[in-house]
Amino acid sequence: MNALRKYLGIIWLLGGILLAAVLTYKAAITLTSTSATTEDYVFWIVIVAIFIPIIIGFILFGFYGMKGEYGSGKLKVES
Amino acid sequence: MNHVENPAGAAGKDNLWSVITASSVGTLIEWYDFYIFGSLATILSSQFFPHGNPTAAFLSTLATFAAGFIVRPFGALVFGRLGDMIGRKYTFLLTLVLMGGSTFAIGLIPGYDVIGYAAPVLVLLLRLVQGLALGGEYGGAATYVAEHAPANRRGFYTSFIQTTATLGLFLSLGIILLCRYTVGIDSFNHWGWRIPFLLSAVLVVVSIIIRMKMHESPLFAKIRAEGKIVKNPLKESFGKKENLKMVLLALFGATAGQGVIWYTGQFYALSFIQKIMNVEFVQSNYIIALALLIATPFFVVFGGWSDKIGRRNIMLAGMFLGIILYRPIYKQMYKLSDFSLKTEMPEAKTYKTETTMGNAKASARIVKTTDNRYTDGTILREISTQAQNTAGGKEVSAEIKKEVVLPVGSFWMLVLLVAVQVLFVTMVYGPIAAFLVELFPTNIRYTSMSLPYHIGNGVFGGLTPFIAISLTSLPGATPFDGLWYPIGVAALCLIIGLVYINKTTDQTLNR
Repeated sequence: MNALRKYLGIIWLLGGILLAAVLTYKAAITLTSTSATTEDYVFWIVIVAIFIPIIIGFILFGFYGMKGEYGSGKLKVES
Repeated sequence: MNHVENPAGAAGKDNLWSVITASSVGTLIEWYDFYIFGSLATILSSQFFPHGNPTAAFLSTLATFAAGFIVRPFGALVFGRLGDMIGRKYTFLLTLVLMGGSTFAIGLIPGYDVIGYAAPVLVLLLRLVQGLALGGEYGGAATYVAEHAPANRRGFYTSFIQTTATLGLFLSLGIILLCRYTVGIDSFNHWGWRIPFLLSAVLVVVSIIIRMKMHESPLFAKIRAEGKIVKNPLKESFGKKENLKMVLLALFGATAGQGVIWYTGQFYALSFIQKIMNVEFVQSNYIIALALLIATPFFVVFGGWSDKIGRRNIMLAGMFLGIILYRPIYKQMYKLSDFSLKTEMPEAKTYKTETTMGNAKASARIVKTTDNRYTDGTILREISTQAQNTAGGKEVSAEIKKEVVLPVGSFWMLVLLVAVQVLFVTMVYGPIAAFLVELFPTNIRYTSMSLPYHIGNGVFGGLTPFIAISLTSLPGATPFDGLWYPIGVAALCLIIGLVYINKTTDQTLNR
């Protein structure tokens, strides 16, 4: 199980990086379009401002998973 | 591994019920306050954010997004920090005052027609205060109850706090429908919508009186007496790896999935019934209210059960059921209003025309209602509203609305299908307060548990309607494609929860 946690950690880490890139690209495409409305600006600025820190958290979660921080004996929640 | 020092609980049994009542009533009122704004969004929009005005539209969008997504997590940080420094009691008393005061004030603001741009700006500011207060309330109430409860019944006792979010929605729907019925639809749209906001003041005063009589949480009082209160709970919670990794696990392994299941069962279901199935307003609200009423006791059932078989198993089972059953459930819901499967009775078609003179000179409003009846008892109502200039007989504007009135059998089938979804909500939400408080030590508990909870619910859950509607509007999309968002988030959360969270989580409360 510890090995699985580590391998999945790598997937979360890479997935987070990919997600951050896609989100930023999508926001840039929408907001630089001539048909962008005020609502689009508010929506995408809020989405990017909120989701980038969350994605950084997800990348960090993946990093901790990869380093074995959630392995047996390292979690306070284990019984 | 730390073990709980006082398994019998820090409060006596009678005192514990007083604690639960005081905490739950306050949290219920906060949810009520937060929901009435959303439930009355259409009316508020016409009062404060007139259509066709770009500045008002901007403020409206900001009020919708900012209160739920930015301010709630920010409130979790501000009040969580305060709760870990000065205590739970005073902090969640403060959130209650802020929430009640801002809700009452919204009910007093004159419309855009009277004070212009000051109206939407004031509404926006008060909505932000609401979001801030909600961000601070839940963590305090959950922590307060958990710190009084015996270790082996913590899931059961904290589940009463969990019922408040659903009961708050139920209360808001009930009061809105009651006011609408009492004062009439036109008066309600004109001024009656203020009553649910103003009523909040009475509810909040009662709740403040109850909460003032409460004592500080015994575990917090203990660490304060021992001088173990941390100076900077934010730094302690998010700056130290051993706590930060638990915050991240709580978010990605539990609250994100819980948030989408919660919003799908309670809010997306209503949105789907009203916007995709076109079910009439009052009937659709009755459906949700009845489903909530049927399923709500299960918060306590699953909360109590989590004390025996573990929090994780029940929460993940709720997510799993949502993942595999959402699409079949929504397809079944859609069939109930799918007219391609019904037989029309053209001979039973009825027409009604009403003409009322408008306020402006020489203008009239003509409402034509056509009821198309089907063999199973379903009615498709087409309402055409025309504004005409009577002087020249010229049509100024026209609006056509379609709504569906379901027969009794379909109505109860829909209640059942929504109740099943709320049942999934009770599985993921019932045990989560106990799960979250048990992850963190007393001196940073309020801060540490509030942030993942409000990101999970406010951001992941709160975005469900917007993302789901965006997905259904893609070219070639079906009405069910919006469900891929909650299914995807819940599936990710299920995998993380299964792999990274281990067994029961009841060891950390007395640290």
